[in-house]
Amino acid sequence: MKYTKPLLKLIEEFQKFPGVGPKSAQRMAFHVLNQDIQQIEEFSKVILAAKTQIKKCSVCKNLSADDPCEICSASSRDKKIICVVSESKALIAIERTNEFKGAYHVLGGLISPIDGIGPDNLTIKDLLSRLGKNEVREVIVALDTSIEGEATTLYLHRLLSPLCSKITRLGFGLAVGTELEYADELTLARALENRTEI
Amino acid sequence: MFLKKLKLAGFRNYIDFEQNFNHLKTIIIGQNAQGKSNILEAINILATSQSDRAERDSDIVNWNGEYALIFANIETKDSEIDIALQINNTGRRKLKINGVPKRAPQADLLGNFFAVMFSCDDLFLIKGTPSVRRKWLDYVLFQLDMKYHKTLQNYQKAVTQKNALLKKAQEISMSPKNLKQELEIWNEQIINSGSQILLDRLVFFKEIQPFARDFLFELSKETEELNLIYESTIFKDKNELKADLSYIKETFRSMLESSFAEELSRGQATLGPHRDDLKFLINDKEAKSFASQGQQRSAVLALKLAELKVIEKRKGEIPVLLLDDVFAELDESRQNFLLHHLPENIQTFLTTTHISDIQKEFLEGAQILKVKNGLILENVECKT
Ligand SMILES: Nc1ncnc2c1ncn2[C@@H]1O[C@H](COP(=O)(O)OP(=O)(O)OP(=O)(O)O)[C@@H](O)[C@H]1O
Ligand SMILES: [Mg+2]
Ligand SMILES: [Zn+2]
Repeated sequence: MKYTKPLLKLIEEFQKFPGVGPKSAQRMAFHVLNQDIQQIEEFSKVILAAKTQIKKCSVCKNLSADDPCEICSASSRDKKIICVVSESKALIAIERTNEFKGAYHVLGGLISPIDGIGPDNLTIKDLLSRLGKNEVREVIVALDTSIEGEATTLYLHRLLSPLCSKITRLGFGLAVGTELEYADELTLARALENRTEI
Repeated sequence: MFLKKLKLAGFRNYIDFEQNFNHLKTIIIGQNAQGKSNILEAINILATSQSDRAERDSDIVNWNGEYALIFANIETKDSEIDIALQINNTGRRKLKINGVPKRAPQADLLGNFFAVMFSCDDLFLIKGTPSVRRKWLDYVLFQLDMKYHKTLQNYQKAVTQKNALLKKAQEISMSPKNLKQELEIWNEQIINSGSQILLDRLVFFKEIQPFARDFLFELSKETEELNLIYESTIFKDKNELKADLSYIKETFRSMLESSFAEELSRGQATLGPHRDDLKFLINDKEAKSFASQGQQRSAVLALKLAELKVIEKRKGEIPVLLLDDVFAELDESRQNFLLHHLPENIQTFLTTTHISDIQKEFLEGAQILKVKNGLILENVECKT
């Protein structure tokens, strides 16, 4: 038995979402069909509203309905410290720690030639002009430890060094709660390299 | 090290396979294309985390299934290990060791179980392409050093990125300054992980060289002297090659700088361990060009026995030996040599189409499994 056309189309659309396979897509499609028309109308409005109202903050490039965003316009945040992240998702993760009281800069990805992403495709120029305009005390580069994250970190380090006297990156270490003997060797080696005094 | 039990489900042509092993030798016999090598492949994956012949992980999943399961119970010198590995046809893996789920199923499998695979494909080690020889080195090193796998993975990713960048630079014009700036961030990582890889390979080379040499010398009745040479693309003069990490890094860096134009014009990373090769000399003559069939067989046999020695020495465990179809390729004197140079308690699995290819002495007290189309037809103990 084949799906009737509109159903097939719906399943295919769901399947385009990250992490959604054919089975989940099918479940989601049937769920849609089981809902009232009002619920579905409401849902499509929410999606449209999200898409049309959320823009990028002109300062830090974070997703936001307001411009400048909440963080950039808060007087309580120290604009002289900028934490550079690849995506808004990473920003939210750092915000959740409640440890950071500075400002952010969202790059919009990582340098990755195989995906056709070079430095020009990221918001690096905006970051440079931010550094030129304000007296930034410290730039914290908070990127993934992947090959692409490392490459981007290195790139930013070389580029920003003449503009800012303090450029830091996140420390490498053991995940909290790890039992030492179960940590993988590379992590352990890095943690040892980056040991701190007690 | 002893593999006591192996279960396969949805692995190649095995839908439901379960076998206990309690003999030092297990002989898997059957006609062509029945699934003899598949069993050895599964065992070898437990040691190297990779299939020696599948192009993609998903190839080993039964065509009608969604995932393959390999379950093994292994006895080591001082403990027992249960390994459960699931490989999905999407390429995803799940791994449990002693019931504990592991976060990195590729890397965390390594270091639990050791094996030496010797198949007729290994006869191409000498005459085949450089990639065959690099693969051999890498797979042994996966077992010897758990960090090696991750380092190699990082290295290869950085090389792929660099190649993409060089290709792009060929297609669109980039200012030399920008290109250099962008290249540098990949080269930096290539230098770091590549130097470590080179160092690990050199250290292994130093270890295996004397063993391989002694084995071939004895096997050839003291007429053949084997010399292994690591041919590095970074150290053109092999006398300058030293197992010193910071020295390797320094040389790598300066070589990359001076090869910028060449790499750019070729649109490829041409320097580094991904382009290195091994050279075998027999009595100072290059084996690739001059060795006879018989000389090659002897040299590879010596190399495999030496590999076994190095693993045993470094890991303190005797690896399991997997002999895939090699007996048809080894004459009686070579079979004898192999037989008499194996550690006493080594567990050996071997496959053959004809039991007559195998020496009587080897068969004694062996467990014989007859396979047909992914099923065990018979399981008997050999009495000669
Ligand atoms: N993913 C798979 N799903 C199902 N069957 C497979 C799969 N991969 C390989 N096979 C089957 O496994 C068989 C080959 O098994 P194997 O390589 O172990 O043969 P063999 O007994 O070693 O043969 P030979 O003596 O020729 O070396 C073939 O029949 C092949 O069709
Ligand atoms: Mg076979
Ligand atoms: Zn902002």
